[in-house]
Amino acid sequence: MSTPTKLRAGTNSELTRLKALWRDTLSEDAKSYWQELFISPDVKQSQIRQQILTRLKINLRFDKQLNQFRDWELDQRDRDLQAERMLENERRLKTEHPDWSLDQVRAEVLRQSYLETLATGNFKLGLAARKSDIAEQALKFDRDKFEFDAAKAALKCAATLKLISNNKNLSEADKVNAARTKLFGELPK
Amino acid sequence: MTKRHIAISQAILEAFHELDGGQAHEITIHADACKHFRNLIPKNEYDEVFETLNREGCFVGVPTKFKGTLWSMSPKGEQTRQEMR
Repeated sequence: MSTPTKLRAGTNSELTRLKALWRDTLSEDAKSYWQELFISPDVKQSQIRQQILTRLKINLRFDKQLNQFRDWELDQRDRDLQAERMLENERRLKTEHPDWSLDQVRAEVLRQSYLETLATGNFKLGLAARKSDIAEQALKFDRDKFEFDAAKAALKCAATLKLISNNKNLSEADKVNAARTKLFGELPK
Repeated sequence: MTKRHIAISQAILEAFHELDGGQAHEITIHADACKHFRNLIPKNEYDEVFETLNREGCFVGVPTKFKGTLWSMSPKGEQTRQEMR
């Protein structure tokens, strides 16, 4: 979605002005009026643009601009619906799992939301989510493996580590260094 | 700010940028930010970075009657996003 042609904040095109007006000023009733007009089969695009000019003083010169605005407005509505579903899920999970932390609840809500994007055919979003899951699992596996290897090495050298720990001639930093060298060998050059 | 915090900030600002001048609830911004971060951002970290950016004036939050607070990106936020790239 992030393209060089995307409108930047600060630009003052007619389309940007229309978006700002829609977002900040128009009432829900006014929005409903325009939404109905947008899907009305009896009104031509040029007539809608003319109405926008007359009523909102915004001059969309091309049908393409109107189409872009409608896509943007639909995306806004999709996001509202998605937020409603996610908040409802969050409420439900909090009730069903009172022992869960907010982090756990939110993680589950996000996971379900990704699955939903897959189920509704938004494969691009779903695959991105899946890749994230796999990356997270790989990271967890690497961490588990490291912890296991570290524990194994520590058990093997327990006696030497104790000697290092008790050596009063070594500073704390020297002790850490000596223990690390004993467990994992010299650092690569 | 740690490298991770910077990466989360970038992800949140990209999620806002995708709104293209629109508004969204923080929960959908969180979902979009995770996509940009390519991993799950724990809620506490997300809240912390979101609050930091909000204090910097990167967002505009508008409380609504039925939908909670809806957020959009301010010109300062867009500027910050471009500077961080």
